[in-house]
Amino acid sequence: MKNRIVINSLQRLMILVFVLLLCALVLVPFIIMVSYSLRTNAELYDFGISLIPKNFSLKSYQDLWNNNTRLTQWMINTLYATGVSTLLVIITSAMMAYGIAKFRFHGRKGIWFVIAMTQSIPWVIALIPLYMTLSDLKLLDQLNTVMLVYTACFIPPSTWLMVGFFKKIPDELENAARIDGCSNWGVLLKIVLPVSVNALTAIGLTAFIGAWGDYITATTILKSKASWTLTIAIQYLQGPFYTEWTQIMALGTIISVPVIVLFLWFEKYLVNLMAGGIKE
Amino acid sequence: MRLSEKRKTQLFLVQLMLPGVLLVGFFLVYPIAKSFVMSVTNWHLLRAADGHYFVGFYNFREFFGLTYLKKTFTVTALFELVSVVGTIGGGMLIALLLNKKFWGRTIIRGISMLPWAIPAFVVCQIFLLSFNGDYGMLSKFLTALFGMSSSSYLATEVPAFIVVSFIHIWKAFPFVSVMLLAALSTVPGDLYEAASIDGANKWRQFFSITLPSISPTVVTLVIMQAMASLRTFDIVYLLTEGGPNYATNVIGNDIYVNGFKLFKMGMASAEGVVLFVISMFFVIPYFMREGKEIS
Repeated sequence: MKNRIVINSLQRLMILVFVLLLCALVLVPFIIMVSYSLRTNAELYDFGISLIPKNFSLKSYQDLWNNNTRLTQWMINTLYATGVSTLLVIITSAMMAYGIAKFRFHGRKGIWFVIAMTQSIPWVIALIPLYMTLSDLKLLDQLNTVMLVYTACFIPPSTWLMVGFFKKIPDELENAARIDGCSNWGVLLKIVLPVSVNALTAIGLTAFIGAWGDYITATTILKSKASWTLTIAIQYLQGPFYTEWTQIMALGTIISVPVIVLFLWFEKYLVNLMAGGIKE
Repeated sequence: MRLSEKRKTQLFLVQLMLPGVLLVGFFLVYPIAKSFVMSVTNWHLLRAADGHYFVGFYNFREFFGLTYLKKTFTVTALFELVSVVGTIGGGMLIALLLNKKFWGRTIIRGISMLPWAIPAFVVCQIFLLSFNGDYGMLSKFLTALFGMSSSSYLATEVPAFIVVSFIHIWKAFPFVSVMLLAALSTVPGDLYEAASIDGANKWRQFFSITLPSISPTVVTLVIMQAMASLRTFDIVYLLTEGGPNYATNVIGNDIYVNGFKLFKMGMASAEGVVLFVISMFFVIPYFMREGKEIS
């Protein structure tokens, strides 16, 4: 009996050690960034390794704000492209997934394979031809283009997850509503969507995080400063001769904090949706 | 005139599928199809005005004749291997840890998934600064630890590859550990009780109960991670652009550099076609395993 207690507390200690290691591994880059953003340029170039800045200073944030008059515009741009595409992803993938999960029609398997393929193959393959097409159609350098590209990119994975979710909703519920005279749209809007709010939140979360942090697509399509998003703005702080590192770290912190908060808030919905495929 | 039930359902289905099909068709399927056409023309961004004509397999010959081609494929394969082993191994360790019951487990699970939420672009900026040879925090730390000379770690072949792989694994393991955690929760607990009565130790239990029970999920995750690391090139492009001396030049990065830095759109498309064929080796098994639930 006594032996068992010893093993138990040893096990607990090991769990504690591993949990601390895990937290360190996950959080250290973020802590490094915040720490860099809170120091002055002078301290950036000194020779210490200290993680904690010697003199806390918000100067990098002030400089970032004062030197970049377009900062609010870039924030609004990012929020617009990310927010609208998230909404569109939720609506279009819910519609597509419902059709695929609950109906049998000609071309269904074909669409299903295209969804599997487009969510799996490297994006860079499509990026070059897409750039040429957008250039021909004079659609480059427009925020709405980027917004639609984000939407298209997140429809396949979101639809994939939602099909798995809709499959689990019993048909009886919908059939009963149909017998009561509910139309197809009525069934979807009044019966199916209300029980899918958590799953839709989860796919919205993945789309939001993906679009918010995107750099490659935005930097390929957006050229003029007025249409930039926050990630491209970091480019601007990296001059050919001098890089404003503390300001970059400040902007990085500003970009990361909203998605971290959103993520921690909604993470459980995502875990439930992703785990749904395995539970049976 | 009232529509028949069948017509109504058909109309409903068209309404459901149309927006998604149009968006995915225009922004994903059409460009992929176009890349096949571009790969056999002399498409060059700066010569767009001259028009483009058919050049046969010239682009493919140019690509397969690249002096650094062998290194690109070796680096890509090595990156695949390291990423799959790293994400599955790391994800498994963390899933096993989070499968234990301890105080604050839900919060730790949320925190452990954070790398997935922090934009790759921001992570790359952090590592670019931290590994800066002159004043980077991690650079100085590693130098103090191993006594290596403090020239930039990202400018030396092996360390650069390690850093790039590490960031990819760091970003990708949360997904793996969540999926494994879900799979672990389906393993019936009485199996372990029976095993410990029979005197099987923890290792034995892991290999004869846990692993067989979750092996379908592990196989799926291996395929998914192989595809994910094939997709990753932004980390490489942002940190090293494939250097030093092509040591981190995974094929995705090579396509982006050839297309958007060197403007050789034709050759980049040919490379894209090659990468498309390679990824099909993973996409088709993935579809066969995971796509069958709709039939």
